[in-house]
Amino acid sequence: MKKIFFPILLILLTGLFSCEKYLDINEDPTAPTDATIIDLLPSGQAACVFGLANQMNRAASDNVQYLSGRYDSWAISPDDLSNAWRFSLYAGGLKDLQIVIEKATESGNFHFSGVAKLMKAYTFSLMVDVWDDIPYLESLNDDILHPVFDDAASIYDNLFALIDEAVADLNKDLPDIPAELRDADLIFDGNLNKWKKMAYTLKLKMYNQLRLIDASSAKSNIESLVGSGNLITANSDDFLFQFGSSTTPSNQHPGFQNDYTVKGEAYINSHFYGVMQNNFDPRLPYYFYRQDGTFDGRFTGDPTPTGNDGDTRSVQGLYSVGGKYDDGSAESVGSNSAPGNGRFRMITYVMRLFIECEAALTLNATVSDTPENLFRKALEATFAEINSLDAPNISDETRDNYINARIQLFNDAASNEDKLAVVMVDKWITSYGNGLEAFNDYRRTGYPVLPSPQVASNNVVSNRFPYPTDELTSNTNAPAQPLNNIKVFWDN
Amino acid sequence: MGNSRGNAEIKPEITKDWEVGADIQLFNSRLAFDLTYYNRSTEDQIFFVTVPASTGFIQQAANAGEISNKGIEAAVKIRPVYKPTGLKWEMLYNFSRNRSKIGELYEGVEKISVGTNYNGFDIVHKVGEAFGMLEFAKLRRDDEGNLLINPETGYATTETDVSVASDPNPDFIMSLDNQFSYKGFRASILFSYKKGGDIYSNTVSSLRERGVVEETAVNREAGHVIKGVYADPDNPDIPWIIDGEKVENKTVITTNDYYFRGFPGFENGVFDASVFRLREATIGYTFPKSLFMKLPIESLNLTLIGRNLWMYAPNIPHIDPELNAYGADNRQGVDFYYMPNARRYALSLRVTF
Repeated sequence: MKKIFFPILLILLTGLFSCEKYLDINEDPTAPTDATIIDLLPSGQAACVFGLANQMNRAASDNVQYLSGRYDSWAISPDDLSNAWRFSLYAGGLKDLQIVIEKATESGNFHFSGVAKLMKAYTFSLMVDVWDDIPYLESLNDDILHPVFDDAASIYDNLFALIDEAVADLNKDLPDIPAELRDADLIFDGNLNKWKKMAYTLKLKMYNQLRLIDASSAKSNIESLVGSGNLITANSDDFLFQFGSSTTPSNQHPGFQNDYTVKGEAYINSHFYGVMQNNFDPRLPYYFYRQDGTFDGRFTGDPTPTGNDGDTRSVQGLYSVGGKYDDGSAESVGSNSAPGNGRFRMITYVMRLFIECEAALTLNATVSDTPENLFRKALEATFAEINSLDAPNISDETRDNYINARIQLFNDAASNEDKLAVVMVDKWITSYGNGLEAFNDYRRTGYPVLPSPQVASNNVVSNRFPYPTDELTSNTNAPAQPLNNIKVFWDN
Repeated sequence: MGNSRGNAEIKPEITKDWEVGADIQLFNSRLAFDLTYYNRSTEDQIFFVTVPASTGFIQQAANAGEISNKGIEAAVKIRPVYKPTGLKWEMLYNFSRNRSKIGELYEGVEKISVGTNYNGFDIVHKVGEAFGMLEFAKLRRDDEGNLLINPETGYATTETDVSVASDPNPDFIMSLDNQFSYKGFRASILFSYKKGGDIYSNTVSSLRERGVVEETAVNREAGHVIKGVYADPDNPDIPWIIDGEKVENKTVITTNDYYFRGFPGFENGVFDASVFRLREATIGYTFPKSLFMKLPIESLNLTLIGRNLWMYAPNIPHIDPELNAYGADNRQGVDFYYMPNARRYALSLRVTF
């Protein structure tokens, strides 16, 4: 069972040990100045995931037309992601992970440092994917007040090295995994084998990301990673964050809180729904819940005013945010309608199979199977995960009808490029819930082909996220704000 | 972990203060003055300033240049009637004004933000300005102060850059307290007046945008024209000159647009917060001891107290401007849907044994 994160409990626990002196007003018990790696690893993991899965995910989900919310039609402004950058990532989770790495290295707790390095590498890789050049080498350092923005390509190189270091840490011959790591690690409960698989599959994903600018390096690295046999090999190895169902303190999926508790944050994008509907996709009731029994969403850039329809519009469902399975009950949902224990899928078996398929089609890479078989296995794996959720199962027949229709389209496609277009539509559908990866795929492959906004609130296409203003104004080494349509280093 | 970065170079803040004052009593204390002029300069005042989050921190303490406060405080006490055993009437008048000024901040820094308002604008300390100014993009105006209206939409427009746009610091504050006593009766009445100081009111802006206040009912169906002149279609910063003349805005917009979109930005929500107030009135009676000679009671007093009985804010509609969204903080001048001050009545019975 995946564990659950209690941020408030942590603060309370640290609070217990302060105020030993009477009237000790110079120390703030809510802002601890020291904490152990056992406290900081879970808070670092949870804060990084929250930073990625909340605002950034929603902005990217609007860009790839999963949703139509406040960032719809490329309307991402510099301050929208300020909280993620500042409080969740750099001065939140990344800071905590950095302290874990430093303390654990010093004290010889290398399994802690290995896990923290992998979480850090994953988080930075996604930050580079959306922001391009960012502070890396000089960041998170107590002695440097104005960290330099490093070249994005060089950050990727550093991250590959960091992942290798992490694997070396995890391979260090230490006594049995201490119970502390089992309790502190919110993602794999201290299972080092799963972390190693995540490490190699993260590299696979990153090399594939680089294929447009260095195809030969991407090809050889992908081939050697696939050949090593170290990759994620089953859904049960998936690097994902399982949110909880508690409301006090809340550890639910942030998307659940937006759609069910607060209500009215975003619409389901009608284009996304339409594509699935046209494919007779049996996953629809697992993806969305229709509050009034009919689908009620919006297209990107719909200029008509939104109504007061929080109780009738369709909302995100079981698969992504841990919302309600659509059994046709047509009820207005609220915070008690579903547990809210959604999943933020970061690096998965399904993703690995799609990446291999893409590498075979675009780089002619030698991978573990034929592109057709990889495509089929990816779809089977995603249906298997759906059927593991707490809802009625999709029958094998329904599943096979869908998969066979998609494989037929794949086989009918004349060129590898046309085959890729079919595959990437399905990758887009399975990646739903992680808009950041879908945004990466969309920029790298150009698929799925998305309709232009009916009216663009920002005339510049979103090819990256803008830097938060706070960083630009307070950091003398910050660059000027680039236009949102300037592509990141691996995109062309 | 804590978000504040340590700063080993922090210095203690030093305040230099000089005051001159006079305390004068005349006519057997029937008239008394107390005057003070002060000039206070604080160097190396400690502020928390934003640091790049990429450091792993959000803020750090910093010494900020020099900040001065100058002002006068005056008190006058008059006893128009003062009979030792009869009617006593005492008037107490207080006046104070303060001028703050940011002399310099730290090197290379022209302003620091002391907080971002809920609406997204900053409250800043800026060199050469008073404390805690509100900074946002003002409405575009020509050199005579006329609003420049977008000829296509009929709306006013905002400048591209933000600037100091609203000063929450009052010009002066004064109060007048009258106290009367006659035998066992005591009465008092306290007025106060705060002159100047701007407030940005979310309450008023929202009430108008939603059309639920009286002024939005005027010409509700007929529409409105924003008073101003057309801006040049090619340059929104200058008036449109046709035949050597500015052109008065004649574009009619709906009442909804007038209140909702006609005045972008925040400037139209800024009001002068001057306010008169009847802050407190009391009337009480201390019963003569002869009434309860046989009882073990030393004294008995009954007083009726009314607080915040009346106010008059000539330049801001609908709300009581004497509110501070931030409570005890050095940010002020913003009303964010706050509850008005309550009017209170109290009856006090005081018995000593």
